[in-house]
Amino acid sequence: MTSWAWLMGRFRTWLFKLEARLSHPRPSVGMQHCRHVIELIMGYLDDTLEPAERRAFEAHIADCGNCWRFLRSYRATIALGQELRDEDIPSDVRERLETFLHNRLQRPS
Amino acid sequence: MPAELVEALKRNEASAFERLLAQHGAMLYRVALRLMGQREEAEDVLQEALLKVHQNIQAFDGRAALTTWLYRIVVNTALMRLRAQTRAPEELFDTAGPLFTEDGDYAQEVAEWAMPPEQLLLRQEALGMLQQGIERLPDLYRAVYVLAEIESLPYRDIAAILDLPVGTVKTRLHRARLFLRAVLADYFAAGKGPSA
Repeated sequence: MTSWAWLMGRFRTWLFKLEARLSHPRPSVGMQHCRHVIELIMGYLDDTLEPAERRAFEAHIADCGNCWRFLRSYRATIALGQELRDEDIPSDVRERLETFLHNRLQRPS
Repeated sequence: MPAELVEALKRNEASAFERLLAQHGAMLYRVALRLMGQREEAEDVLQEALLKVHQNIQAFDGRAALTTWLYRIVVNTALMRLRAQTRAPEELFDTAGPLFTEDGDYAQEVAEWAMPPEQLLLRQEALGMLQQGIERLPDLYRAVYVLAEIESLPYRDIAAILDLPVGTVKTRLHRARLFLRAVLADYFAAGKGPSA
């Protein structure tokens, strides 16, 4: 199961790179520096880049292993952070807060 | 439904506060916990925030959504408390992003990450490291990160809650992510991570 998932992941990566390379055979001028690409990652993931900028970004990513790996790790960091969303309020905390409110509401302000 | 709850809160009905906790308690607790880092402190923040809700609900005019108003109270209460403590300086970010050469290329090769989604124990360990990283963020960056990443609020709402321009919200979120990525990098870098 693990190796199957890993293989599928590699296959998807390869497909993405192939698609980007076929769509944008040459990196456009102005997107040659990795530093610039890192600055645009958030806009890329938020889908707020201009179409030409997005194409240039994808063309660079398809050709640059460092930026490709950086993008993957940036995405992984986001995904991990979103897992913290599952936290619920513990029942004992909720009970204490309800008692606190009950006591305060009974007091004349 | 929110309007009905607001009216009940304005009438000072005890059951309205119970409903408030039932409907919004989890999100408010999450925010308080991630901002403060400790359960006890999060509970204190929530207690103080609920008191403020009770004291100020008459002034709530519905121009903002109730949830936005609640978030703002909890975040401001937490930030007020954090201001009294010594927290991380913004220089923390100087080494957070990747290092580049003068030509704008990476100074070091970026390592491939090995992410083990199915290995719960390792994932819990990684989440623990992430939480430690979040606690090291400067307060205002942490507030942006918690509201954006954990609560998934739109940038516009976060800007309203924290009274910041949307552009500043985005910049702070990006820098917080870069820092947290750097915190996790050693852990996840292939060959350096935990042995399964």
